[in-house]
Amino acid sequence: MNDGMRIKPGILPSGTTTPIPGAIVEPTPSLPAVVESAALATRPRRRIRWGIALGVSAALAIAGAIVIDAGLWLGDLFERSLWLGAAATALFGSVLAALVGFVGGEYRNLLRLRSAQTIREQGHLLMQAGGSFEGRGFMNDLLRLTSGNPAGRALCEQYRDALADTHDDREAMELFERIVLRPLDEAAYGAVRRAARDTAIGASVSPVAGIDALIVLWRSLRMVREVAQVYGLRPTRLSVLALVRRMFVTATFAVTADVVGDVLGAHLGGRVAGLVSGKLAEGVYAGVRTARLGLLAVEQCRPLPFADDDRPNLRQLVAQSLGSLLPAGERSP
Amino acid sequence: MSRTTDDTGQTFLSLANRAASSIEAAARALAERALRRKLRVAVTGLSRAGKTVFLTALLHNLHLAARLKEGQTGHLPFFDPVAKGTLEDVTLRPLADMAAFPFLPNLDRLLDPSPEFPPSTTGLSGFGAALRYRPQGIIGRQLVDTTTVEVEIIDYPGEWLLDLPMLEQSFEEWSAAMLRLSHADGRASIKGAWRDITPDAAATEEALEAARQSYTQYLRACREPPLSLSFVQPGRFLRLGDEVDLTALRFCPLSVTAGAAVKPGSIAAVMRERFERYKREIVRPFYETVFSGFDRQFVLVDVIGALNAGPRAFEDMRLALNTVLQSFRRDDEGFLARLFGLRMDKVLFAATKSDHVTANQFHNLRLLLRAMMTDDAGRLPMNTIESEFAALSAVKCTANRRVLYQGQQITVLEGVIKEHGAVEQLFPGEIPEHLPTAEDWASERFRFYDFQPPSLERDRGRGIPHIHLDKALQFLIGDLFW
Repeated sequence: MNDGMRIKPGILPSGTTTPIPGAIVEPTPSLPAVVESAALATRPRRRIRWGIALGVSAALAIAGAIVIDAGLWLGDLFERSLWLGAAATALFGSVLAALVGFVGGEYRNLLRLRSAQTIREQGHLLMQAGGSFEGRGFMNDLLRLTSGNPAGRALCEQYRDALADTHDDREAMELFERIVLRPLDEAAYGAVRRAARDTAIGASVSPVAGIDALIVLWRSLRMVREVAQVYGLRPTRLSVLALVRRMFVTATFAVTADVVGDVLGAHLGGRVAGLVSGKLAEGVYAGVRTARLGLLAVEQCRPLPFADDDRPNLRQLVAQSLGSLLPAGERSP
Repeated sequence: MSRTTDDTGQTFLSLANRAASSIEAAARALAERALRRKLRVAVTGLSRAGKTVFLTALLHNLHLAARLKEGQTGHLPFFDPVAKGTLEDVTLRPLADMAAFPFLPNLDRLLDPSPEFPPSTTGLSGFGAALRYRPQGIIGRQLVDTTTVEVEIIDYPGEWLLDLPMLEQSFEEWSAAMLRLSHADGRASIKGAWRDITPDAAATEEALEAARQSYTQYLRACREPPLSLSFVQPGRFLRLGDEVDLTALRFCPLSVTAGAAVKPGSIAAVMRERFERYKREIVRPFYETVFSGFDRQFVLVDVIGALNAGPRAFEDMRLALNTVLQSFRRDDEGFLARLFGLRMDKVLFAATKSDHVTANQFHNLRLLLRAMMTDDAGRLPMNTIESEFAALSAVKCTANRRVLYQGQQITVLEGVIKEHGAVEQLFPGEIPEHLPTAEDWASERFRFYDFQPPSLERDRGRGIPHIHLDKALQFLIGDLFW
């Protein structure tokens, strides 16, 4: 255990040891609500990306032009009347402040999303690590991330209560899955099911072809937000977009066999629905697509990767949310 | 007219409805009864392995697990019915055919403001726990709302277990084995009148009783420190139990050769007869009560105690365990299987008192336990369908702390050492992951202390903190909750 001199076993005289804080989770009265995302995100060094450089410099140029233009305009106003100038300055200043606040908030949320990604990667490693006790600091990060919403925070309290100093890293992760993630997964699946049902109904009753696409888009984005919220992320527009982008990247790279199987199964279900009515079948397709998107969102937002036997099943989810839409006796299995 | 037909029709309908609902109720009751399962779990272990504490903590934690409030997790998060919230109710009750395990008195001792460990078992006792739960499986869910798994657990003095191998031995064989052992290093130093008995002398009850007492004293001396040995046969001599007929116990090992003629009425002849009677009237009925009809078993081993007691005690415990557990083999080599039709599905070997070591040593503790239980060819003494090794502690008396000591980061235990009375920090050292070598014994790699049980007043309603009790439970009976 120790490289240096071997310590003789026995009672250690009091006052000769110094506690190392944070090495083992000590229950704290309540969790901090605000996360210092920057502390969680560890960013590797990257090479210059010219595309980004172009975008940033263009944005800066435009912003500079706007600022200079506004300055000139304000100067002009001040020359006409002091009051007019002051009012315009105040207006412009508030726009600027709001802009800074908005960008800052979005940026923080993006960082949070990124830290969630880092946490998931670390978590995957720790889930394999039986017999080690190195992951307690990581567990704290995980708990801080997940207590982003009230339900999650209550579950995290419960988890802290159940975790003992004798649980090794793998057991700590397993316990986290059992106590915190299972209920959250259920809540997330609930959001996905609702969205799938809504889009299915919306698409099957919409009179005009363009409208159903809008319904699906709007409802899906709302679903992604809901799912992200369940897992303690605070999604705003930009981070939802980032999330959706990542979902699509994952979807294109990782069309694994079981996803294919699931979709096939869902298609078979769709064929049954197709026998019922063309319009309804369209709705069911829309629902299935939304559900699939929802599961991708769940996989992206969940702070730990799924254990193999816990992986969500698209077909089951679809059956649960759309089953009631189909006439009895013709429900997909 | 039409009205009356209508009425008749109505009556008919309501009758039919009533019949249907009562049939449904009956079907549910039938399904409930059919799905009710009962199993007997044996808790096996030599004396001082911690069986009584284990049982008390297990029953108490189970009992409370069904009474947790919303949002409480309790102490059994790895036991699935508790984790999934499907456990509805747990009722504890004594068994019909056996003395009740003193669960409440034991629990009171542990929950006392100045807690103590319960005293060791003096006789055979049992307790049942009926676990009512909501089935989650596809079929179970359709059939019944709730169903019950009844677990019967039996406690007995660990000494009695040692007599199990005697059932297969003749008096001559047993005597020879015991005499060989008694000349071994350590035991040879214990004097006793029984060593000087002349087998051919005429037997009197007084002489026989003197022999029994002298042999019992020898066994006691073997078991007590400084020797702290485990293999003391017959174990019943040290823990008589209630209403035992002492005349059946009046024997001790004699140097008699198998097949040689013995003089009728001589000590050798009478002792041989007593030996057979002892097996027939005391050992056999005990095994028939305890070990018939169970298919799962906890084997508790005090590895820590054996390490503390030194190489001789360690080897002796290994010998005792292996000799005893050989009898549980499932194939025809295991005579319990032959005699009582005993078949075991699952066995959990657990190193108890693992709160005496730091949590980072659990892995080694499990490996060491495994090494202790297997023979030189790597075979387990009992080949069950499933077996598992665990580091267990029924009552967790210590906390792990990471500290800086003499410039090194180490994990230490914090707890109240027995008879010291104040919280202290202890570095217990390392558990070897293989059977300790001579060098390991010589180089002071470990030193364990017994701890005072913690005060449980603060979380009275939550149960007793433990180490891996829930995982053990899940392994042994978790599969029954579908």
